[in-house]
Amino acid sequence: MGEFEQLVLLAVLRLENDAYGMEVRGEIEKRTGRDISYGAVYTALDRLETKGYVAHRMGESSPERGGRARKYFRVQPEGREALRATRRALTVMWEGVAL
Amino acid sequence: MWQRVLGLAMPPDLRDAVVGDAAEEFSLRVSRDGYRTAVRWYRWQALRSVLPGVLHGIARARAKGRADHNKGDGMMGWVKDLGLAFRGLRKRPGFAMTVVVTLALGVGATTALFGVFRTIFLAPIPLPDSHELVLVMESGGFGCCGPASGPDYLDWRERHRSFEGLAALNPVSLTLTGLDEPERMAGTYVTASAFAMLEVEPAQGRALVEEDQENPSVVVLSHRLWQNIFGARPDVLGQALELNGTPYTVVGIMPEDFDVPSPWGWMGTHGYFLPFPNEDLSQNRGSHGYPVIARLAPGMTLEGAQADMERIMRELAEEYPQTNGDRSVRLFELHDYLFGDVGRQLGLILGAAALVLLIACGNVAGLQLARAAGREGELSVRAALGASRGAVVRLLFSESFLLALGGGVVGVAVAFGAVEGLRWVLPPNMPRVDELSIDGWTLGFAAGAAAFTALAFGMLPALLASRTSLASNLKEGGRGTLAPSKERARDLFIVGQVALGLVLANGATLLVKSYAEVRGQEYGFEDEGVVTMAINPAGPRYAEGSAVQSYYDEVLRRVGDVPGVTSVGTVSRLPLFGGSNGNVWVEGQPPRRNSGEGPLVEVTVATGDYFEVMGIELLEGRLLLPEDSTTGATGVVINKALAEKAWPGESALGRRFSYSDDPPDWLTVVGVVADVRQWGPERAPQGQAYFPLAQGGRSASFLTVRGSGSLEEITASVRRAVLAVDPSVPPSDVSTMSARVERTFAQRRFYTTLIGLFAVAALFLAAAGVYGTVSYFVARRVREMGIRMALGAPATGILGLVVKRGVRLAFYGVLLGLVGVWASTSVVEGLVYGTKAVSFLTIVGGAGVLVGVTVLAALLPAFRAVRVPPVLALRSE
Repeated sequence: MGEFEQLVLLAVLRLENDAYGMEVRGEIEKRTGRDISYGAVYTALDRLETKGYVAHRMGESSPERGGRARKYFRVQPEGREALRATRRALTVMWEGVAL
Repeated sequence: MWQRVLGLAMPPDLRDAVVGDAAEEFSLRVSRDGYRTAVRWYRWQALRSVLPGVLHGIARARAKGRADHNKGDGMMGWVKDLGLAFRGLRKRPGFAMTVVVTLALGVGATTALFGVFRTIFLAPIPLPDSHELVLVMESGGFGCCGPASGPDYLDWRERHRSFEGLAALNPVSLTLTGLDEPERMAGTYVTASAFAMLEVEPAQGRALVEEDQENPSVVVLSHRLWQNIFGARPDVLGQALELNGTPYTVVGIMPEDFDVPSPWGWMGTHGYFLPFPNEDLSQNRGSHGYPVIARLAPGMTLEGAQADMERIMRELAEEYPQTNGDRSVRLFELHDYLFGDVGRQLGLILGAAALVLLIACGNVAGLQLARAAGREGELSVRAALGASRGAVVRLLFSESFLLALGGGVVGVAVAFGAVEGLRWVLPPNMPRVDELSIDGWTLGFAAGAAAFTALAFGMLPALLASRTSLASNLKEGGRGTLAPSKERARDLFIVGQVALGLVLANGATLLVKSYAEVRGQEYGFEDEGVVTMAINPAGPRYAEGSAVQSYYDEVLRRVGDVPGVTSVGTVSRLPLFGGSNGNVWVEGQPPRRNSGEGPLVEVTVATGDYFEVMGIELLEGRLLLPEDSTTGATGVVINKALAEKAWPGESALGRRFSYSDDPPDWLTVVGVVADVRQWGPERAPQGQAYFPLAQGGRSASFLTVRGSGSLEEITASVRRAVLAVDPSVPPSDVSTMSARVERTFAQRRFYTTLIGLFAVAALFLAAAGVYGTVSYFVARRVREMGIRMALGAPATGILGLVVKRGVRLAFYGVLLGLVGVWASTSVVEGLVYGTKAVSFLTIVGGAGVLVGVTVLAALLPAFRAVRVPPVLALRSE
């Protein structure tokens, strides 16, 4: 799993595991200072969904959105497991490394 | 605009969410940071989203392409499969050729016959709105149906409520004189209403009008006559045309393909149209000789018109009980009347051809199933590598598709050839033969037939074979033993083929027997060695009966002197070719209530030695003498059927009967002769009375000549002798009696031959199919037989097993075939004469052949297999 995809998954988890694109983008920007595009966020979410790490549900629409519904994502157990595995791997690799 | 950029950058299923989120955040930013800042932000978002969106789209497409490729879906997979199938077929050219040829013959034959069926039967009559045209015939005590009388027609015209128009015809054959050589030609008198009713304008000049019927002196020509006789001259209008010596002025020429339809011939028979004399229309209510055609009024149905006409006939029956007392009316849709019978027979042949095609498909299907059985290993590997079931079906079907395509293309070529061939062998009296061709519809039919064959023999085996069980097939090594469902399918093909073959064989045998029956009928006369030709003295020179008498006397004298002629006579209508008749009042019986009662008796005029020429035996009394013609005596000769009907158990000599009642015109019986089948080979002889010329009136006569030696030479000499008497009376319709008799059977012979051919083909195909399929599967069970023998089973036991299996299948096929025969009884019964609709001999014979073939097909390879040492059989991996 790439670094960006991890950020996206963690953002969703931080948002009580029920977040739509605008919230995910805002969370990542707030915490990491990185200004990422909607294109990047949604393509990442799409890739994660193909892998089965996240699933989506359709939410409400509103006049500000031009009548378009929100797309809420939640992390699936496979996604959590993938995050754990990545963290384990990184932890192991970081052991004994001083920068 | 930037919203569109953002949207287009994203794949469609993410578009709404992205654009919606961006719009929501834009809204927030507007209120937080101001409009301009928000717009700048949005623009930047859109631009930055393009690249990830596009890259993601490309990645998705590539992933889908790989998946499609692995699953075997998509256009590329289809093309690959076709290529694979083609290469596979190329490796087995014998198999491919056999299948293509079999299918091509089936498709070609069926297509050609469809072309014939379409041209002859399906094509409408070439007149505007021809489906509205009906034929109005009269029915009565004599049965159904005959033409109307003039006064009846006039009353119908007055009183009907159901037609846009009515017209009466009187088809005739008159001599066109005033040419280099006079020529007899068919035409018709017709009421002027016909042209308006048929809704066709003349190509030149004018059509007939009511006034012309007062004193007919004009004629309208057909396009054909104008071309052939007048060389399509532009100045023919206003010219005179002499018919039977009477001049008529040409006032109009009809367009090509126009004709007034008549129930007694196909379209295109009438060369000229003469005005129907009003005088003839208003006379003789009891004389029925004029067919009537009509066009239904808008919204009127045939049933409605029928009821309306029946009302009129009831009124006429009350007003004229003598002539109309027991008469009614029957309406026919014109197309059905003209072409219905021939269409039904052609439809039957088409059905037979389709059955043969079906059997051929069954053959190929069985083979395809067998081959798929041998490929189970390969198919299982494909499935294991991710091929979907659809891809496997498509792979198996591709081969069938190519074979059907080949069969279809070659089949069209066969159809072209077959249509040409059919043009030669179709009976000459069949309508529209010269219009036969392969048109768009027929080609469409060919395509449909080919597609059907592909589905019939390709799809089912493909679907069945694709239900592979991976594990067992891979372990088996694809040894070609079928799963139970496929075994059942294969068995079903065999059973079906046997059944179809039996049905077709039964139908064909019956038709052959029926034909033989009809041919073998005793007609009551001898046709060998007899020459016949029509001579019709007419025109002003022959206005007097005595002139006609003199003419015939001279003809008989001169022809009698021709070398080789042994006897000569004339007759108004040749036997087998109908005539005219009426009911008679037998003296001694109570007076009749109307002229429809009493025995129906043919009126036949005979002179000279007619009876001797035709070999009609004299049973009692004497034949007609020359004096009977001149003295005006009322002596007539009758046939045995009338004698037995009118005076059962007594001698008819000296007895009397009359056609009219008040006053009666008594005819005295002077002789009784044997019966002839005057109304065709299938109708039993009716009462018949032979009149001498003086009483019979002037009817178109046939000269009959019996000769010894070369009939060709005699014919030529007789022609010359007749012309020598009066060159303006040319003999026409010259033919030997044998040839005429043959022609009456031409249609029946044609159908019988074709269906016979199809039956032979069907039996052959069915036998071949059964043999091929059964032997293939037996051969594939070599290993199983080896195991059985290794385990101690005797060879005879194994053979018995295999044979039992084959016989059982054939037995089921025969049972199903019997059901089919029973179901087809009603169809066949309408076409056979003198035999029952089920031929036990055929069924037993056909069943025997098919069962025998099945047993042989099972036995031969099984026999070979059990002779192989079990060790070798087991080793055959």
